[in-house]
Amino acid sequence: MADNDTPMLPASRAGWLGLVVGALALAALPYLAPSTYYVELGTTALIAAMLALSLQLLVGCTGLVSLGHGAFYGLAAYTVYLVTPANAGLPMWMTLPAAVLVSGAVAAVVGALSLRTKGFFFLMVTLAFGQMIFFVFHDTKLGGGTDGAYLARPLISAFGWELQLPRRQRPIGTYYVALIQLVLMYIGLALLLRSLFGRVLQGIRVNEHRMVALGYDTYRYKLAAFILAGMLAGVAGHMWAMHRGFVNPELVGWHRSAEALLMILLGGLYTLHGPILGALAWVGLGEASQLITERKLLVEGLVILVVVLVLRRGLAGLWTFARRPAEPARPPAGAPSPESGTAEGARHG
Amino acid sequence: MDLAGLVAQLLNGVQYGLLLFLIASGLTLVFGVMGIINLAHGSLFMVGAYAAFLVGRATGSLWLALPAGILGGIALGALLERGLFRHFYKREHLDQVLLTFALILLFEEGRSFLVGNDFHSVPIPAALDFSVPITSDFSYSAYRFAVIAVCLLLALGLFWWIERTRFGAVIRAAAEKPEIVDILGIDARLVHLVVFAVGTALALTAGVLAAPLYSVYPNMGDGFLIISFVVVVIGGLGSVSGAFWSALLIGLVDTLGKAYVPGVSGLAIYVLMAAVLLWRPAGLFGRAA
Amino acid sequence: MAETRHGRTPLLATQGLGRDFGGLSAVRDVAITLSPGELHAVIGPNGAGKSTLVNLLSGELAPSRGEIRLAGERIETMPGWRRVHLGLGRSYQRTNIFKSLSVLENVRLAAQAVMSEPRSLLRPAGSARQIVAAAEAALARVGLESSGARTAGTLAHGEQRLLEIAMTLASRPKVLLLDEPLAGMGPEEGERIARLLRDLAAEHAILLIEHDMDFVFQVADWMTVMVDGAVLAEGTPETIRANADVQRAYLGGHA
Repeated sequence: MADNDTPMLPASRAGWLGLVVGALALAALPYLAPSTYYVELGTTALIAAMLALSLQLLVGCTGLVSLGHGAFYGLAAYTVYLVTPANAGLPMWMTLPAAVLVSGAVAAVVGALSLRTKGFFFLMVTLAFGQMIFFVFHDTKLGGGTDGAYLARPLISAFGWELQLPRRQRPIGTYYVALIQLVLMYIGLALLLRSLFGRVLQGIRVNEHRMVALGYDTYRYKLAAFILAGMLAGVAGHMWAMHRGFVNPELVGWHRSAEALLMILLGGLYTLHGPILGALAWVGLGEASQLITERKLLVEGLVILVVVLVLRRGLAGLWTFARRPAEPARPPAGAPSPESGTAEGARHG
Repeated sequence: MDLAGLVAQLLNGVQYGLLLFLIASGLTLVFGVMGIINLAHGSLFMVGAYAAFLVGRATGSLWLALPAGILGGIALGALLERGLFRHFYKREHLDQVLLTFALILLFEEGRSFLVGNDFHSVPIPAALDFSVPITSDFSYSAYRFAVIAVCLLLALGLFWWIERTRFGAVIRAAAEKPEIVDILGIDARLVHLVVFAVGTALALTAGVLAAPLYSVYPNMGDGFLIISFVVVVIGGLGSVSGAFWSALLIGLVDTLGKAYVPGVSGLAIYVLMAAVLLWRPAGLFGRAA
Repeated sequence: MAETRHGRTPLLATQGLGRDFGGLSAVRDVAITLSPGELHAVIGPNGAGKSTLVNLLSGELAPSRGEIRLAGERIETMPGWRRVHLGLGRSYQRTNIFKSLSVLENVRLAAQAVMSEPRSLLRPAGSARQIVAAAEAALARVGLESSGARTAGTLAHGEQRLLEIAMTLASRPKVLLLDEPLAGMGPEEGERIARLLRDLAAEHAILLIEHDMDFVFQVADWMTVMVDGAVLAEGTPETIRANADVQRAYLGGHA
């Protein structure tokens, strides 16, 4: 099989090695960090990475640009809040499936309706559905309304055994739970991309019109991807509940979805690990900018402008800069016309 | 059922719908002709509202705000198109989404810097600050009537421009087949500039008109933006008349829902959108796929 | 309805097929049949409705009226993707391949569409050997077997047209709808395709849309002439050549 048949995964041993080194570096963070504050920041970054990764399944792998993805993330966090009794945390093996199931079920409904549209319509429809879910939590007392609510964090547990840590070490435990989930998520998606199913998604991204003509019911494949992505976003949202123990409507706001898109673009649209880099960079940037100015939105806005206008292949692209293969321009993700030689996007980095 | 109350709510629904139309028509025109998704369109609405607030505060009267909004909108739109948006036309949706999202953030930051983050109410112009008696025990706000009137006038003007003038014919053609503009020898850049400027002016004007009714506050553009997306989805892409009827429909459904079925009424328009998508994925007036 | 040429029941048949666009009838009352082993060419001037006909047959357009039967089964309301699984394959006039993927992957996707089963979808693509083998066989059939690893967009135009056909073949169709396979090709490449088509006609039924008259008269067993959306005449190439109406409307004295 040719090299470029799964271009989103590392093409060489060196590439995979780089990823392993990165994972080890992340694993070492709690020991290198000067204080627990940075461990918690790391967990926030890992959760953002999971959200971005889950969205990459739609955007980078299938070519579906959704502006409502954050809703499944926030929905999972709220689910944890709703199933957890007032003063005692439930074990993870109960809360995680609950959160993921709810996100998946809602994604199934939203996806079934939204995927009847394409391109711009799809973008707006996903935005609208996300907003609908936002409304449910913002305007009702279901999740504590606009102020949000505290919840008893889920307990780290598996197979009847519960990890009980002294208070000071709890952030470290949470960090590793997040890291393990992120690594498993990446591996799972990598396997998916190499599978027959993953090839179909790739084909849909490159030329959906031809995929239909070849005999694929592309709607069904896109829906499967949409539901899976929603469930993975649910994993991230559940982790947020474990991490912060607090939910508020911002979690399901569309700005969250736009940020997730940004993290993908920042890290690189064309690789699976790019969004992880982008998320880490984005959270880091947010922290760093607070040292300089209070005008957070200004910094964010300017960063986005720079990324979109300048950093075509994202941060991950900087690595492969030296050995770019001679491939023709990649067709745009989310562009309305199929790849038929006419309107190719401006995205050849 | 209180008949007077019902009539008032119907009028409110029409007024809200017409404001939505002003915003949505700009959105659908810009996308229809140039293929651009402008998330910052709601920010333009906000700019108009804040402009009204500032003009009112500075001059004590709101009357200047309307022409200021229209002219300012044209100028701002031309500036944005020439300086920024014209480089985005060939970009993928993802880029456009993020770029215009960045604009939202920058607009918000600009507003915060210039005016602060407080909620401000905007007084209704004194000349219109009364109620028009309709029947012996029902009267309706004169200002709201004025808003309805102005919006209808603008809507009619827009329709006339698109349907009856040569430039409008060019716009309609360009929305169907962008290549036509070049083939006909017309300067595409001029068409883009005008369309964008008009779209911006409409959004700003809507903001000016809305300010006394909704007050001004941070992120106020968000809610209107998303609802106008729903308007465009239901009405059909690129169809200004579709946007008109769907805006009225949504305005009425939302207003009546909030008045008579509070609690879940906010969901009503999304349920409506879902229903339209099931029945006609291209929108009520859109070109069937 | 069914014309049985060679005594065999038709593999593909339409009756009263029509498609309107607004007030315009792009296709009117077309009855066309395709028998096994036949190489049937549809010709006509620009705007005759040939492309619309192919789109109706492949399912990209829904008919305004009429029937389409594939091996006796009515398919006119069936979604296009499903028709592939019943044995209908089509190639495109404007090359419609996956330019950024490898040549082999292009064809492998085509093969996978009809060969894979839902429960094995999570298998690694590389280990689904039969699918890869079917793809390699299709490439070999059109003569592209040594280009498998190349990126499809880097192929020469003529090779891309061959890839188009390979993709159609990989879905193991019984009926091939070929929309101007020679589009943009020089004479020797045309020869290559002509040989290929005659070869393929033995095991498939081919409906061919083409503008190149020499080519058509050379390879076709049967011809249908369309003008203004309707069938003007049909018959063997000799009959068509001699047909006065056809000469007037289309051939303009070339015959």
